[in-house]
Formats: sequence, C-alpha cells, structure tokens
Amino acid sequence: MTRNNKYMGYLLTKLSLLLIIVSVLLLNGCTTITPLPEKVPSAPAADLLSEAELDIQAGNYNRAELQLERAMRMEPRNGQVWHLMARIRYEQGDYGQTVQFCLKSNTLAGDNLTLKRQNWMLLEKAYTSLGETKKAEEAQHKAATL
Amino acid sequence: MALIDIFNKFKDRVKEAGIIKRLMRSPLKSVFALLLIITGVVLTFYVVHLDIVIRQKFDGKRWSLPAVVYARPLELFIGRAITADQLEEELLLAGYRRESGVKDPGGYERNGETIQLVSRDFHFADGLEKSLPLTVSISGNRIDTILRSDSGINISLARIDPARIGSFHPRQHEDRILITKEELPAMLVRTLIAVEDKKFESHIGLDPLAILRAAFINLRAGATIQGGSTLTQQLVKNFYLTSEQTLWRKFNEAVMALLLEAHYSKDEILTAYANEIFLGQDGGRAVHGFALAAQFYFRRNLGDLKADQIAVLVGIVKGPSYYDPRRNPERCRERRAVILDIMQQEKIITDDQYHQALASELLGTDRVMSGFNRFPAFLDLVRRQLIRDYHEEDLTSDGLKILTTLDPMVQKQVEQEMAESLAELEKQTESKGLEGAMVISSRENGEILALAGGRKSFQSGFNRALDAKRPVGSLIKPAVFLTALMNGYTLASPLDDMPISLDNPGGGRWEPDNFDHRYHGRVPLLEALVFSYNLATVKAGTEVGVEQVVQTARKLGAEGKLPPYPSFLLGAVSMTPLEVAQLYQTFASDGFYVPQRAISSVLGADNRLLQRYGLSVEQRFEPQHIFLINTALQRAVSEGTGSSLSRNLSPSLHTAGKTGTSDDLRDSWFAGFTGDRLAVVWLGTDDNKPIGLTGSSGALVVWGSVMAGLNPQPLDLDEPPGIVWARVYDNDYGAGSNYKGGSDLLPFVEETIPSGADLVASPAIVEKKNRAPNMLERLRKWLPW
Repeated sequence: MTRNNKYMGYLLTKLSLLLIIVSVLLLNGCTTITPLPEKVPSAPAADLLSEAELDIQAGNYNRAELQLERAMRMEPRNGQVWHLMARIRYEQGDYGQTVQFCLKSNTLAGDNLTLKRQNWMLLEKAYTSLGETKKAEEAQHKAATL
Repeated sequence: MALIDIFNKFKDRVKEAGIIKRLMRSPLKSVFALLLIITGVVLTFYVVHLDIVIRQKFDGKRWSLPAVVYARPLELFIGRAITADQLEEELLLAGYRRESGVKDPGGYERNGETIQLVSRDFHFADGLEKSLPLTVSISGNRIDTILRSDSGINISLARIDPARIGSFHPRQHEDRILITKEELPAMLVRTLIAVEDKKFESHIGLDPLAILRAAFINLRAGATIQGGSTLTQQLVKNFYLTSEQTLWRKFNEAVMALLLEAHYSKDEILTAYANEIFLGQDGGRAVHGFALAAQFYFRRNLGDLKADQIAVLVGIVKGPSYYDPRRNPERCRERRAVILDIMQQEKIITDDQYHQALASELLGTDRVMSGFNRFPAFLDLVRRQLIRDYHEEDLTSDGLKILTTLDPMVQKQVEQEMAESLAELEKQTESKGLEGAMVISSRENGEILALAGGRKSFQSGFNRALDAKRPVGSLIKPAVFLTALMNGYTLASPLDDMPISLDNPGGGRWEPDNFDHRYHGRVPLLEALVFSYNLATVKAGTEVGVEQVVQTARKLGAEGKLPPYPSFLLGAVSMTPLEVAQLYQTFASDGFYVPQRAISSVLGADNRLLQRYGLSVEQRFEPQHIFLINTALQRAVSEGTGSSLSRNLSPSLHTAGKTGTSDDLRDSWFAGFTGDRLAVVWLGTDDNKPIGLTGSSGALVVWGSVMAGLNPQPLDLDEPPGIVWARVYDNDYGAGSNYKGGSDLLPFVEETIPSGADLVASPAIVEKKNRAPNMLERLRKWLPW
C-alpha cells in the first residue's frame, strides 16, 4: 500500500513537472518583448581575479598580488586565487613559492579538474626551472592523465 | 685714576693713528662709538646665527611625522555578512561622522538597514581609491545592494578608507596632517588673517602699530589681554623658541620674524603656520595644524569645513585648552561668536551664513570614537614587526603609512568578551587577578585579525599575547599524535594508557599521571587525543621518540628552546599565545606553514609603496596526516575535552580545537579553528598562581563567547586523495575506554587500514549524494535531448 502511494506521488511530481515545462515553453512562445534583466554585478572576488590576470599579463605583479590578497580575504578557499598567486611567483622567478602555491591550490581544487591540470602544468614548469626533473616528469604525467 | 690713564693713552694712540678724527670730539663720544661697533659686530654675528637657525629648519624637514597605522579596509560587496550596526560601528571607527543629508566625504546617514555614505580618497598599496557616494542596503545581515548614490548604478565591490588605529610618535608626541597652500580653504585663511593679524599681507614680520595698540590696551587693563604678535611671530615662537615670556625671547622672536619674512614668501609662512599651530590635546597626543584639528574636532577634511567650524578652529588658536569645544563648550561658543562677528564684518561670510553659523551646534557629531592608539596590544605587535626592517627614527619621523591586517570588528568583539568572560570566571572561582590573552587570525592566509594582551584592552604595558611565555600543557598533544600518524600509526591504533615511569634527565624518575588520576587501559589513539589522556600520549611519544616529536613541533612553527625530554610530550615547554597561534596555524591551513602577519604594506609619505609583507606558504606535512589529526581535533570538540563549546557554538560548525592545562591549574589554554578563523586563548595570573580553571572551564569559555559573535563559518575539512573511511570495531580496548564494545567510523591513510575494518564511503561523498538534486537537474532528466 505504502509502496503504491509512493509510486503515485512520484508519478504526480513527474506529471506536474511536465506541465510546468510545457507552460514555460508556451509562455516563451507568446512573449514578444522580454525586458533585459538589470545588469547584475558579477561576483566581487571574480572581478578582482580578472583584474589580477590583466595585471599579470601587463607585468604589474605587485598590483596583481594585492588584488589577489583582497580576493583571498573574501574567498580564502578559492583554489583559483591560489593558482594565480603561483603564476605571479612564477613570473617573478620564485619557483619555490610557485610550487607551494600550486600545491595549496590543489588542496582546495576539489572537483575542479581544469584547475588541477593548470596547477600540475605550472608545477612541471616550476620543477623544471628548479632542476628537479623527476618531479617535473611526475607533474607532467599528472597533468596529462587527470 | 688708572682707568683715565689707560683711556688717555688709548685716545692718544687713536689720535696718532688719525682714525675717525672728526667723530671723536669728546672722550664720551668715543666710548659710545666703540661700544656701538662692538655691539654691532656681536649683533651681526648673532643675527647671522639666527638666520642659519631659521633657514636650516625651514628649508630642511620641518616636521617629524609619525608613522600612521591603519586597520584593514572594510570591503563592501554583495553578500558580505555584516549587520547595519557593525557597518555603522566601522564607519565611526574610521572617523566618519553621522549627519543628515550626506554630501561631503567622510559623512554617513543611516535609515534602518540602509546606510548612505561618501567614502574618502585613500591611497592603498595598489593605488588611489577615489571617494565615492554609496548607498548600502543590508538585509538578513548581509549586504543586499550597493548603489552609487549619484548615478544609481549597481556596484559589486567598494573599499572604504580604513580606520586610523594609531601612530608611532616621536618623544614630543606631536601629531599633524601636513597640507599645502592649495589645500588651505580661502575662508580659513581670510578669517585667520582678520582675527590674528590684519596686516599680514603687507607687514615685514612685525606690526608696530598692533604692538602699540596691544600695549595700550594691556596697560589700561593692567593685564595681558591682547597680543600684538603677527602670524609670523607666532610661527617663530612655536617653531623655534620656548614658551618662556622674557624680553630676550621677545627680541629673538622679532629678529627671527624679520628674517623669516626676508627669506620666504607670505604663502610659505602661512602654510607653515597652518601646519605648525597647536590646536588641542588628544590624550598623550598633541594636535597640531588645522588639517588634523579638523579631523579631531569635526571628523572632516579641512576642505569640507563650514563657516561655524572654521570659526571654532580660528577661535581656539588663542587658547586650545581654555576654549576646548569639548571640555569648555560655553567659552568656545562665545569665542566662536566673536570670530563669526569678525567674519561678518569683514564680509568673509554673508549675513545668512552668519546667522546660520551662529545657531549651529558646536561640534555636530554626536558620538566620538577615537581610533588613536585604541588597540595598544596590536600596535605593539606591529611595532615589533616593523622594527626588524626600520630604524626607530624612520617610524617616528618619516610619515610612513602602515597598512595592517587588524579587523576592528573582530578586535572589538575580543575586547568586549574577554573583559566580560574574565569577570564572570573570577566570580565563579572567587579569585582575583585573572588575566588573559588572545590571538585571532585568518585561517588560510595567516593574517592576524585581532590581539588582546590583557583583559584591559586600553592599557598598554605587559602584552601577554606576545610576552607571557607559559607551559602549553596538552596543547602539544596534537604534535605528538601527528608524529605517530606520520610513523604508521592510525587513529585506531591501540595505545596503553597505563602507569609509566621514565628516567628523568635531571635525575630521578618521572612518573606522569592522568588528569583524572585514572588509567584507561588500552585505548585507540583517537581517544587519547580526544580525551587528552596523558599516559597514552607519553606512550605514543616515547614509542616514536621525543626527538621526533620536537622535530614535528618545529615543522609546525614552534621556535626557541624545545627541550627534548619526555615531559615535553605533556607540554612542559613554554610558549606565548602568539607562538601557539603560529603552531596551530599550520593545522588550520591543512599542513601548510603560513607565517602570521600583522602588516600587509608600508607606504611612504608620498604614498609610494615601500614594502610589501606578502603571503608565503610551505607545505610541511602530508595532507592525509593533517586530515586525520584535524578530524581528531574536531572530535575533541564534538565529544571530548572541548565538548562544552556546544554551549556557545553550534555543533554543525564542526569546530576543531584542543584544551590545555598546566600543573596545578596555573594556565588555562584553548586553541582551535572554525572554517574561517583560528584563535588561541590563554588565561592565568601574572604571578603564576593557580587559577582553579582547566582549559575547558576557562580558556574555552572565553574562546566560545568571542567566536560566537563573529558569525563563524563551518569547518568542512577537504578530504585529500588517499584517504579511506572504514568502520572499526572494538578489538581489545580496555575496560576504561569509551570505545569499549562499540564501533567507530574513522578516516585512514589508504595503506594503513587495520584488518577487520569495514570500508565505507566517505561521509563527505555520502552527504553530497544525499543532497536532493536541484530543480534544474530534475527538469533535465525529463528533456528528451
């Protein structure tokens, strides 16, 4: 009996969902003018990250670092922030810290495979610069097999 | 007789030489001429000397500018957790003034949950942040929208100029904000001249008529009621001379005034005057110059002052203490009326302005919260970090801007709760003299957000957070067990919590005991940490070797002497709260050593970036081992020695932490972290007396009450690869073990799963799977493509 009820409930939810989809599609067909949504500001930390990336490209490493530190205060566990810190250190020729920031970024990357790959690729370059060829090879392998 | 002889001889000689014959018709005249010549020469030398004195100071660095220390800037962004009260508090601390109809920088107006403000220009390390008119709406204790008040455009992020929290004074304790001639408002200049020195533009440094007039008035009154000094003379007096009232000083003053006028333009002299003049006292700090006085009295930039405020400032030139608008408002009001009269007569202000100014409030701002040296303990830390890179003199004279990591909201919470909890604890234990210290830092980047050096935050003096080196007790245990985990132990490894007797390096035997004086028999490692069993800890520590544990403590960040004796395993090592914080920072940031920082940047007086104190990290431990130890520290709070924390903090925060108690209850410690912050609390007395409090009945209480007010974020440990969860069953734990006869779900490093354990999915993954799929995902299932 209970199993039956459950099944009925399940069927009903699916049906109602179907109804909603159909009505949404119909409504969309009817509307002629959809007002543009007001420009919603993007996530503040993301803004700082893109600014930092521009700064890195322009060679303003100090400024980029300051932007990242601001972003880090808002989102301390955003792996992307730590990756960009690693990139700054790499550009500055501090390969030891490049490695460390990449490792930190990896611990915060979670399911973000793209970020992990970026970290391993940068790790390969940093290890190569440090003359640690074995570690560089390992990093390359990780980047390729992720 | 002899004198006349000498004189005659001299006269004859002069006559013979035929010098200035015509001038010396009589002996008297010749004496006079000689004296004149000598005086002339001496005077010339003296004037040349004064000239050098004047030019040296005027051309050189005229003022020593203290280094000014700033808190971290408040970042306003959509979604930021903050209440309207907190935002208002921040603004007040940053020197904002409450007013209706906000127009000028540094003002704000609050309507319920909406705050309108105009930020001020501020040079950050990454450049100038321009003043912006902002309207910030808060809803549900979060920032909902930020609009530009002028254009109505949405903004996602804005940075408010930070609070000035202190400065490093030279010995004289003079403070000022230097301004240029262009920054001097015309109304102020005209009023100042009209009141103090009408002939300023035309005189040569002195105004003889004014002196005569003053002398006449003073003579008639029989007292000094009017001064005839020009602005130049006043400047000279303040700048070069002492305040003693002697004829000699008056003479010096006059000569130097003439010299100053001869060398420098009126603009230069006026600007120097505006920067030099003493205008009030703020505790130990002397307020000099109009720009700082504008901030001090009105929380406004000089350029934004209204007529009545300019009248107050010009009025108090005559006697900053006598006419102090805060202490002697009536006198100051009368003085202001006098100045306003002059302003009206001289047509500096219109009749309308005059009446408006006359009726306006004296100070306007209802609440005054000076940020100056309000946080002496934190400033002390900043100073100590700076002194490694700068000379004392640079700090007190070069006008450096020190941008720090202090979070005023956190600091206020620490100060308030510290004072209240300590008073409460004293009442409970019927003791006196209980002291405390606390350090709070950001979990990931090691920035120190707040620091308490004692229960009375306003008192500078003994900074216990930095200087009280105390035995850390059980706070060291995580280092012992981390070492064990690094050596193949697991959280389930059985340890004997049984009597132990070891050789004491100082001779004799060392026989430690458990806090509850009981033996718990065979217990899992987890239990030994969670319930802080001494004997099982010593067992594990001696098995892996004390030397190794000391190494671990060093890798965690401990510095100084760490004696490798067995008693080290139970915390017979003294550390300051700050040192403990550095050690626990490594646990909090997942095994990465992050040097704690109180300073982020140093700028020069010209706003150029001089020095960065950047972030650095170093992975010192395998993430798997740290994950295990942090999981155990979470369990110490959820079910062990830290469980009373649930009175203040929700168990859903999964806080990690450890209690510590030294022998005879002399020191009470708690160190722990949430998802966003790390904090360490120490309690004890300055003369090292027993306080009758354990880590959990003392420090933990303070820790909990402080953190509860900081909107802590939950600590969700990121599970590194290579961790496997398994259910372990009681094998042969002793009768005294809490795990006797039960089972437990524990994380393991993959290779170390004990036999007989059931592998299970990670709780983190299970939780993710259980989470209901959202609407969109459900919808997608229905779509045919």
